[in-house]
Amino acid sequence: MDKSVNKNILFELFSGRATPLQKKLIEQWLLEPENRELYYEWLDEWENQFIQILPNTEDALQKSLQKIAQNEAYLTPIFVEPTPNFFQQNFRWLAAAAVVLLVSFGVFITRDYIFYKNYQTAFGEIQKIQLPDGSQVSLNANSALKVARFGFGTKTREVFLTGEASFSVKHTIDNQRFIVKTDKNFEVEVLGTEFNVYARQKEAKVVLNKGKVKLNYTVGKKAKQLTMKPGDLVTFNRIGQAKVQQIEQPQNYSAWQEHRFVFEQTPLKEVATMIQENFGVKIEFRDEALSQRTISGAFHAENADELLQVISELLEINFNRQDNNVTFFE
Amino acid sequence: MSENVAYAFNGNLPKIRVVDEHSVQGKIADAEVFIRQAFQEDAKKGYELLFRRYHRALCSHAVRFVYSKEVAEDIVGDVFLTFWKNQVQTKITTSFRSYLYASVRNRAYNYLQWEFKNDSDIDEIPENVLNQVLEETPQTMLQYDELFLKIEHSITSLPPQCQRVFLMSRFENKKNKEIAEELEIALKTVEAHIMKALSQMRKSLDGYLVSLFIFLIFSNTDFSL
Repeated sequence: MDKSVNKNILFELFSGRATPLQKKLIEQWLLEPENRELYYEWLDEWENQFIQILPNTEDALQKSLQKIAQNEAYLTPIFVEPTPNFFQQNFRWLAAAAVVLLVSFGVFITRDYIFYKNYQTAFGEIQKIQLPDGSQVSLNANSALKVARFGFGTKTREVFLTGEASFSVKHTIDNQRFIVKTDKNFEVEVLGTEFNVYARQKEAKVVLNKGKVKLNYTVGKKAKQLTMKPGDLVTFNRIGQAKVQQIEQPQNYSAWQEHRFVFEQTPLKEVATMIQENFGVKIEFRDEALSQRTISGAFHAENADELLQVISELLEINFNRQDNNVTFFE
Repeated sequence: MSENVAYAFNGNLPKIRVVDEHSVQGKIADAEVFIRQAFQEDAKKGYELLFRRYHRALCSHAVRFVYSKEVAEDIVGDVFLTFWKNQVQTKITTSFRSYLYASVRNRAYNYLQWEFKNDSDIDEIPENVLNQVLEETPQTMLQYDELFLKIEHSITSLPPQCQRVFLMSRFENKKNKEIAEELEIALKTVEAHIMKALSQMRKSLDGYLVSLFIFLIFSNTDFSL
């Protein structure tokens, strides 16, 4: 066994008199678990020799035992066993409770279906929805809209959106608000108007075509509000801050409804993200420079292949498609 | 290494204990044999023995870090309670002594971190802060030694009056007003002395706490991977 370190050296260490070399030696020595035991044994011996304070150990022990007793008194009822015929005695009540529990559990797990009508689009699919109040919604591909089955249009008009949709909201006589909630940090509140909401993983944006909408959003824990004018584009970044831009042709942002895709100096990289979100096709570039090239114009495409074809012809580049993976190259 | 590391047990105590009285391990194992036997017969009895055996020395060790009698006793008390709550005697693989000293140091260190990082006026320390468990390595063991020596040094290098006021406040549990009356100085002066002592302590520890902390984070990450 390694005897390089003895009690004296450790006592020197505890008293702050050990040299750096001795410290190195001790560090090495401590690698052995049984030496660590020795270390604490000697530390204890040293503390007992050079005691710093004199606590009242007996008092402290009594307090400690009291605390333990309190804790255990508090815990015991949990371990009390039920009387042997508890179940027989209360069979009727238990059965009733079980039925209630089962029903509420059933309602609980199906509540989404019972209380809401869910619209869900697949990749490449666009769905037109007419809401009970006469408002129109176009749901873009790979998106979902949830509408309350009961009470919609009587008290509030609220829908939940993930993905992208364009709304054409009917103004009601009683000026009822229409609210689009998202799983992002914002919601859109309107009276009657046309606008496009985009709330996907990467970013979120709202474009207003006509009328007036209010955005309620939060940055951190602060609630904020913003009123949009027609032609406004509001983009939310990752931490939820809003940026307002005035754009010339807001209708371009809802062109997807007619299966049209409008680009304006749009980098290919962004186009790729859009294709992935709408058609579920993953796009890669053989070299980075290619992804920076931009594309402009309005194109009609019913599916991903048509769009890919247009892009490759326009930029005079090639692509390879294997299932849902596409690679662009020159 | 021989096979007679009798203190390294897991779960149930081994029925047959091979103790070679000439080896150091044998001796270490033996020092706590009565406490272990007591635990086997009656856990409460074992706990009482353990408490009486180590309480004083552990308080003395804790106070080197936190420089307050009250805090030191609280820390040791909590370590013992945690020992009981988790029934550590049934799962420990080291000696009780190693467990207790390492826990006290760990907790004292967490306390220091909390005291000097938060100069806010929160009185309650969140339990989870104190309970953070840092992995023990030879480096951390030596760093704890350096830490308490550093604290001792920062206290001894205070001007005498300042040191006196600080110790009266932290060790005799006296209110600032009592200290002012006893030393016949203004209450403001007492407050200033204590502030000065704390800021000196903080200054000499600041870089140190951070560096030890970073080191421990790294070793923790390794551990969790």
